[in-house]
Amino acid sequence: MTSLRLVVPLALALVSAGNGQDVRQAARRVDQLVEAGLRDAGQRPEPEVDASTLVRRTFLVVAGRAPTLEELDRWTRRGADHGELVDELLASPGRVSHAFNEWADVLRVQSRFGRRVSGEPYMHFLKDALAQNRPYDQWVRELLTAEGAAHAQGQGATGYWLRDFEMPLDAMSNTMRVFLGTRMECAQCHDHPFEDWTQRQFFELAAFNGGMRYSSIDLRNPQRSMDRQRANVVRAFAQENGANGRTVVRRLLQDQGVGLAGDGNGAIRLPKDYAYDDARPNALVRAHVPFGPDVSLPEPPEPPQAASGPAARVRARRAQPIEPPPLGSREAFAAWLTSPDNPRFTTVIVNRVFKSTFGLALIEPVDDLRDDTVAVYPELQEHLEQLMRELGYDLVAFQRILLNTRLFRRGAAVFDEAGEEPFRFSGPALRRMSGEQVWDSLLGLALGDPDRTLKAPGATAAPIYAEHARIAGLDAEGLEKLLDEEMLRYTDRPAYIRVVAARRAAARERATSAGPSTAADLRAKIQELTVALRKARRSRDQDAVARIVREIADARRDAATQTFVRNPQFVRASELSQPAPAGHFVREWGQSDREQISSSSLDANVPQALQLINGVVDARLLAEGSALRRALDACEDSPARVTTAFRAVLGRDPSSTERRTWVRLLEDEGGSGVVDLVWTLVNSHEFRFVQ
Amino acid sequence: MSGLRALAFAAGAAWALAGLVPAQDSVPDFAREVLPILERRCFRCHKAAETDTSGKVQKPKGGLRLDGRVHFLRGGDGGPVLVPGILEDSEIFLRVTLPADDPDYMPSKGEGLSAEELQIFRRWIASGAGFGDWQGATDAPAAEGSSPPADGVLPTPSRIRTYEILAEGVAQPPQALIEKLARLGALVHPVLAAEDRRLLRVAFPSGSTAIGRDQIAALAGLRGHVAEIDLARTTFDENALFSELARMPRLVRIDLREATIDGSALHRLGDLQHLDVLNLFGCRGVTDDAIQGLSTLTSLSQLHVWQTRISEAGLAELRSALPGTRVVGAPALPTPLPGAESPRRR
Amino acid sequence: MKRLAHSLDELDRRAFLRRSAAGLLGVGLAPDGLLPHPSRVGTARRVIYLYMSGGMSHLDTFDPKPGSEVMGPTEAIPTRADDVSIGAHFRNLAPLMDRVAVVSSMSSNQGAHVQGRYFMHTSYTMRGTIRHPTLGAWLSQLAGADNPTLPPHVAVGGDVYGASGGFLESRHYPLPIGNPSDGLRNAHLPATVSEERFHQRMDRLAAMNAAFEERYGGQKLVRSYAEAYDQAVELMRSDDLTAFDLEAEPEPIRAAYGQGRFGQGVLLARRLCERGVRFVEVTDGGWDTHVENFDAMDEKLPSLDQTLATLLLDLEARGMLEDTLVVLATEFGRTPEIVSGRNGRNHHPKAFSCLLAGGGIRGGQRYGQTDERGEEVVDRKVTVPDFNATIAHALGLDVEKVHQSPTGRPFQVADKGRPIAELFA
Repeated sequence: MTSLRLVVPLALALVSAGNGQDVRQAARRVDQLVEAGLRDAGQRPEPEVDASTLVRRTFLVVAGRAPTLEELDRWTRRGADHGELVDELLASPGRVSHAFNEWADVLRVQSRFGRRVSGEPYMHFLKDALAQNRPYDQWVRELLTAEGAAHAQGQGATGYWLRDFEMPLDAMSNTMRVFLGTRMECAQCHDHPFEDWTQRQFFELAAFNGGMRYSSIDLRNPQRSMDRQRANVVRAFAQENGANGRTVVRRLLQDQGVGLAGDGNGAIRLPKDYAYDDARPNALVRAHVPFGPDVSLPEPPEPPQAASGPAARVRARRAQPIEPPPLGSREAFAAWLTSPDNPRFTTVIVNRVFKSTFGLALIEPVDDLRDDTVAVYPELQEHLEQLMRELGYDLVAFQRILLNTRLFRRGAAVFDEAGEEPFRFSGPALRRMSGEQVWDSLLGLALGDPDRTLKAPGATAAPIYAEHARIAGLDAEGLEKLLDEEMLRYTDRPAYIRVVAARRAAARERATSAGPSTAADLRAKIQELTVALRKARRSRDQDAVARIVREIADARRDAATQTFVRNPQFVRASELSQPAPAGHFVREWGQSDREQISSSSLDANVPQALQLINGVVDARLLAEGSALRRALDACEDSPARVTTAFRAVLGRDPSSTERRTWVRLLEDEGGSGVVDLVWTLVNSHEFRFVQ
Repeated sequence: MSGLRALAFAAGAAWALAGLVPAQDSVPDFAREVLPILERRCFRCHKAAETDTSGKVQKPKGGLRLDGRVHFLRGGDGGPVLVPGILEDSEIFLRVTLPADDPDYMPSKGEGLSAEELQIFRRWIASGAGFGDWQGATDAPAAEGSSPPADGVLPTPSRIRTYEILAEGVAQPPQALIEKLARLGALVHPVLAAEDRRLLRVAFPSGSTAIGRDQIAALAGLRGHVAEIDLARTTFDENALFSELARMPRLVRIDLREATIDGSALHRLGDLQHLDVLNLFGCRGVTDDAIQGLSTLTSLSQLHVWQTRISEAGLAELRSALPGTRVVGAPALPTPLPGAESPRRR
Repeated sequence: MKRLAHSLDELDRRAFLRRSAAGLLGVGLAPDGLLPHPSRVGTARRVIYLYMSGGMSHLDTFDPKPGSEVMGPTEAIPTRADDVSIGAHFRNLAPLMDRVAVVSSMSSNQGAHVQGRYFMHTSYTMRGTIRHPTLGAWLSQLAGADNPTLPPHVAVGGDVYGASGGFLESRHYPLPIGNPSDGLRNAHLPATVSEERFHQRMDRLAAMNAAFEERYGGQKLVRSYAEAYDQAVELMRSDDLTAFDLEAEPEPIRAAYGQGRFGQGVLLARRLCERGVRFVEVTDGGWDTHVENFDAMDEKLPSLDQTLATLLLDLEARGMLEDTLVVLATEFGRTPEIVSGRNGRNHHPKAFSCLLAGGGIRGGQRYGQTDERGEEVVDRKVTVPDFNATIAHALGLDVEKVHQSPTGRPFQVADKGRPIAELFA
């Protein structure tokens, strides 16, 4: 085995988390390979950056936000060690928040999947897995094999397949893309036009989830899931209340039971319009993998022998098709997918972490591997894959090594995406902050310590679990009462609406507190102004219209300002609803709607520019109570203010020219000069790009 | 296919493509030279659907029929297979010149084209793929037809036809005049064809300065060339501007949406023989007083008066005064659905 | 960003025109002063493109098969167009179908959402890393804007992912509006900032950015930000900003469009078009009805009916329908077979329906036919490139012209699609 040669020296260099010597050695090896590659390509590595650039970059890459003033001070001080900073950040809750954002984009995490399923347990699972740094292959396996009721405590992993509720084919092609970088979406309907995947191969893969049901309660025989008393209540209720009653029961069972069941029977039927020669339409195919190590499933037991004779054949045809028995094929699939011997599993995760660290991956795009795909540095790719395997898929340990390379300390390099040449990593790629990073960084300026808005992983899922447990724990009487309440939907609609409203109010009570009253006052003012605006428009009083429009804009900004510090919406992006609502800052800056895999965007657009030009600085960032405002107010003189502003926003000191220019301005303009300074810094390219 | 044969084909193909075989300048006669090749090599699979002896319907392979001119040009499931004059865009040529063992090589059944056949084929396409008089099968395509015929004529919009007639005998206006008008805030587009400036559309996009004497003077310079004018949301001296418009003999459309006028000068437009569309939508200054003036605009086929202050009675009056004109008032919009939620403002 | 150093009062319109024309593939402003124009004159000056994201069922909407079991509970009604019947939910649209051409023979082989949406928007299938431009971006690039102060191309709702400028420069990308009722926020200077102060800020910003642009200007995204700022400033000064403000629309008309996000988005599109925006796409989601298809139709179709009918009547009354092309498109249709248990329909790219109205289209026809189950196209198949070529032709774009991407690869605005003659009046 060729990899054996690498195993031995690596085993010696194996990193136990935080063993500095081993980390440095491993990092050095990466650098050697990159630098050799650069030499071959006739390129020179970028020079290393200064301390403040490096600190800012490290915070953004690991913790997903720019450093606060205190943090910048601490880590740019003489004697501060980059390796220590890396260790501290990797152990911080900020890392979890940032990693969650990245995985949420890949896994299309939503706070709610459709009407029925809450995404909170799923988010809980992911944040937990990341916070505990569970090995990647392990939590992927859990995602693929989860069973149980989605909303019950501890079953968050069911969210993975439930994300594509009742769409097992889409779910399978998504899985192949996300974890194996293999695009098979086309193969659902026909043989892939360019690659080798056939439609049959796709269905053979989908067969691994054969028989998986999207409910933890057997909806055909729900009584099996409850004790006799409750089963009786349910049956009686359904009988007494006719079709609507049955609907109520069905809905309740569906909502309570939504989840996954079945460990996979390894079989699936081809579509009715299957057009190729290698099988008949609607034929049953058995599970097979299209590449990598073979998966053998136990042989299913023989179906009962059909009696001979035409009558028996007719009877056999009319009888229900016997469902293939469970074979544990889901487990088998998960084992195959996450196996170190799977030729693509490790490739993909290596590239994801590499890209997260350096802005681009050795193979781009990371989730579209072809037969002829070659990494820009094949030897490095292979080395890193081996390293990942050796580390047991410990993503933090892996990233620690990358963060300690010289490459990570080099100046950012431009990548011309229109060009034909791949990026060669003369330095990390220059990239724009993600929407979440911009938001979190601005939040840092306003709040001073954005990480304090991070909640424990299961905090928002707790009400979901509680409600699920409550219903599960209802005795016969409680169950009957619940069913009667639900029945109101059909018999007394207004009463039902009241019931629902009461439930919602109770839930809100348990959740975060409402905003302070000044916000309410300002909202009233805005309503008044809106009425006045309509009147002015009708009477065509252009001056009044212009004036009122501006007053409304100001009032809106004031409303936000008054409450922003205590505003439950001013939390890090990982704590917002997933995705953030359309029109939210984070969405305008590229967070996706989580309908497609990895569809977040770094594109520039006009609303972003308008936001920074008019929306953020003057009102919010320097409003009463903002951390930045406090820091600036605490400065003794203009030079101190200039330095503070630069350090807070851009993470560096001003150059001497910059200092001179701005000090002069501040002395001329006083307070408004400070605002102008912050405005300029926030709107600069330097702020939004990660150098 | 034996290796030697394959080599011959490949060589033939290569020669054909490289033009090493001396190209004859004469254009092949389709009926005499090209059609036999098609019959021999292609029609077996690429003809009309038919039922074979076992009762199965054989559809033309790839949805491509070559047995008729119309079908040939239409192409197959992947679109047209022939671009007259351009070999490298003609899929039919690329396929027959592939190596014989290539999965996409054509013909897939029976013998491939010989070297001479390839030569003829190549010359035919390169010279423009003329079919002569040949029509071949003219039946409509059965089952899934593909793209419309390459020579499907896209109709000329009636408006353009009108302009073409109007533009007869008109000379191209001097560039300097157009430039002058553009400098004063107008956007000027041709209405006939790309390089044909005989008839123009003049628009004053929002935000430009009000239309004053300078603009009117510049318009005057292009008087004979303006077919459409867009004055939406502009302000101007109605008398002065409309007097100028009245002197534009080829003016067909006037767009005055939400312009600040009172309609007192509309009658000046009565001399415009070709005025077809007048859009007064949103002209709140236009009241029933304008009806008299509007009634003189008998050449109009369309008059828009929604959101003016013309009354219901006034509308009726207009309609009877202009029987040949479609007078468009307020539309009957659908009633909102009950229980709809109002839009939320953040 | 250099021009931002000028005072905005001295906005040199000519310089702006010159700059926007310079984007035309190397051709500058025509020396005769004419703006860049497409190579022929089309019948439509602008497009309102309504995108039903998720795969709109054709049988329940515009290609019903009355009496067939494939219809489930959906019924059909006749319309003002001869021989054209549509789903019974479309009560308001039925009398207006003489303005609409139903293309029932759309056919594609892209049955997955991402690929299907991409194909519908660009006429190309997804290939590796190339991002192709959509029609709106091509229009902006090749034919310029009708209003220099507004963006040429706007996308309301949906993710920018589906509607993008691809390899064209970012000034041709659509301006995204997430929530139409919010309008264009932050478009006014704060009360505390005077015009003069604003000019000074922009000057200093230009100075600050100069070094960064010098060093990193080779990266497209850096240039894109410079452009975005230019466009933002332009927009701030525009007299047409009010187009984004739905509150300015009279209440009855606003209500007639439907108060949901899609309806209000379509209203916004009309307002933008009135002021010279040439391509507005409005996306509506929720059409991927694998589960409970008929419930979803009951919910969605009445409001689509209302919105679309209002749009057509409104445009017509304003005299805009003649030169505004209204498109209703989706990535694929849905199976005639109703999946039992879920009461849903699955993806079906082989046959589906799209609509075209206004802009020189001959309404009142059903172009193309599917079989009696709506399963296969049996007459006059229309590929996605053909459909897009028809739109491009209506706009006056040359569909045969081959353009080059920055890397020298050849592309056409609708790939090899050809416009369909019978769809034009």
